[in-house]
Amino acid sequence: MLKKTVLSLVCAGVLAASDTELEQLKKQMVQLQQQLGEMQKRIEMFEATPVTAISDTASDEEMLQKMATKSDGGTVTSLLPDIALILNGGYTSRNVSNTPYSSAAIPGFGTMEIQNNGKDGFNLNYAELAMSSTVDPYFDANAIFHIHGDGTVEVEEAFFTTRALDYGLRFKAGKFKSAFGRVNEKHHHAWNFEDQELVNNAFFGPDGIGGEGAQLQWVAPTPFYLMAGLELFNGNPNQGFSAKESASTAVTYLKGSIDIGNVTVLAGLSYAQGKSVVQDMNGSEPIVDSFTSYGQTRICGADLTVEYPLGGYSSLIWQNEWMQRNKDDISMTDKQAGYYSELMYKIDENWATGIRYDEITKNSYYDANLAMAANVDNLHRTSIKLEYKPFEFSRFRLQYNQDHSKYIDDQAKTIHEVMLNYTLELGAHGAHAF
Amino acid sequence: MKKLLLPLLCTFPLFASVHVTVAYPYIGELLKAVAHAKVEVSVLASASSDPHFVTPRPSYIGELRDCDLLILNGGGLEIGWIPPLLNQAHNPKIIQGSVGYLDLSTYVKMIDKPTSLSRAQGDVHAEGNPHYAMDPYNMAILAKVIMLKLSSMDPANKNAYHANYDEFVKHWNVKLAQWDKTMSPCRNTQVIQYHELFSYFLNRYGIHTAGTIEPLPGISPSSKHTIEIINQIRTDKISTIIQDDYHEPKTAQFIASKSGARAIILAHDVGGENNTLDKLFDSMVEQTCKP
Repeated sequence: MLKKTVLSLVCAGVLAASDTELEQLKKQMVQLQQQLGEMQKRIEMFEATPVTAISDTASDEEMLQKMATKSDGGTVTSLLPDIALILNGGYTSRNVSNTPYSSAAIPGFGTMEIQNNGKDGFNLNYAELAMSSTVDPYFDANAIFHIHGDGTVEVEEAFFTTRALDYGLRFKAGKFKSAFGRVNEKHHHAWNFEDQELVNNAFFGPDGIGGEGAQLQWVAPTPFYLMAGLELFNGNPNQGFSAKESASTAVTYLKGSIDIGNVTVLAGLSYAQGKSVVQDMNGSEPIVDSFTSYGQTRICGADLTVEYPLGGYSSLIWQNEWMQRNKDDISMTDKQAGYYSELMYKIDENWATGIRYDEITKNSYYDANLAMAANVDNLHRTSIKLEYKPFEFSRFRLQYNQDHSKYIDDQAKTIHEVMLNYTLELGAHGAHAF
Repeated sequence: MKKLLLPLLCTFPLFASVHVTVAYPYIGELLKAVAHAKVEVSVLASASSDPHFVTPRPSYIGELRDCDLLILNGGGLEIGWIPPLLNQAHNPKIIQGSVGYLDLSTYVKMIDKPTSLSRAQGDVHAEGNPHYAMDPYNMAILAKVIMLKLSSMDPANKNAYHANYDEFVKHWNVKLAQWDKTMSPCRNTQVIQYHELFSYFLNRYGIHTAGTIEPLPGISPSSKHTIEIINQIRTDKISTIIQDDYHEPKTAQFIASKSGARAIILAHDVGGENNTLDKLFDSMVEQTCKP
């Protein structure tokens, strides 16, 4: 009875419904379907999104266990050392051909050994193979080899450092570059310009001061950065010291840095002392070993670097270094001094430019050829560069030098040179220090 | 004289039992939340610089020389600047493998781990995308890690660290609920980023990254790729371009003007106007998903 009544009521209702109401119902159905579809999509999206609510994460115990086992930071997947290969080379063009250029000398300092970008033409300067690793809880070790274009292999550095000394001390031994001054310790590919600073090249030769030796460095417990170091090396005639007595070259330095707002200031004082080597001006062979000791060579250095950030990747860096050498020579003490000043402008992530001025300001020395005192100053060089880094690990650099520091066949010769250089870093190459 | 000096010295944080150095400002904020004034905190990087390429100022060596604990973001983010500093600081307490070396990345889930590793793919990190701190949900996890670490290194203040952590989480959960609510209308939308810096934030709220302005991680924009992005924005009707505050904004602005999408600049760390964690995520949420 009830069913019949309901049915007839529904039928009546449906029949009574006008066409417009049906349309509305249809529309609502479509809308509902659309909404359902959207909800379905949202649910799918939500499920696809990794959600790690706080409750999902490791328990206190698991976290503590991880801390206790010191496994955090352990991204080490093998015990192999980090290996990097750095390719460096380019094209050099200068107004002096290769043969006369190889005999070019800076008066008072002898013939220059040109290590990188030396040939007029293509140069493969080196393929640098660098390996580094932690040895054990107490030591780290590094070895850096240069394989040159002519097939020779050179041990640039090979040394170990301590990890676990207290009181801010660190000991280093092996073959390494001295931390004298600002640039001596840096490798060629980390230099601001393609060639070595003139005063560094004149005083210490292309490899800089260093070699087989030992070093102790101390970082002071001061609220600002203050570091002192002491080094001892075998004397090396190529670096201006006699090899007659071993381990006779000592280096010491003090470096400090403060921040003035955004500006970083780094300054250092350095001192090196060793037995004098006396160079025969006719050839490059040192003749000291046939003589008795000529006394001491003493070198003082001071450096100042200021970095002014300009926002983003842009900054201005002003870097300066001065040094003076008093060298006991055959019948007098040579007094020589020089400096460089560099202004680098990092334009953005990819581009940088810079200008450098080098000068030998004081140059009174004993001329072995003439067997008399000589004084040749007014030796200087101006360089400009433009750098392009497509990526963190590749760099192209164009540099122009106007060089008034060289003599060829005892005549002053102005050398113009243009260098286009590439540096490519492959593998696990570590970041560079400031 | 002694009487006068003593209270002066005691108020000085130099006498805190644990000296902590942290890589980025957000870690410093977490540390403050958990430790209040119980530890002395030094923050190295600032919010305005690219977290991958912080200038390794020598003054940072001075900070690292004397600290008991170094807290890093990890995941390879600091590889370009922390290792030489650590090497020069001569502090055995904080070198990798020591108790005082804390890499936060090992306590969170990392996304976008590459299946193959080649620098032809740009600056990819073997560990995955290291910008996990952009997910506000991760902050509570990190606070907990820091709380546990401090408690183990300084058991005398354990209760205080626990209480502060509980207080932080309570507050943070309120904020998370707010952000969830504000972000919910933007779920299932698409954006363009400059670098995959905000992926964790966007993933959290169901926003899909349709592309990046840089063609590959760490590679500057190219005109070809920029045109591709403009076309993609037009066809897929993408409304938002997210730019970080250290890369040049010109490309994003150019793309915006050509495609009709809006370009927004998001801060990625605590500093400047966004001087607290709350403000940092408030600004990210408000700018990304305007109600």
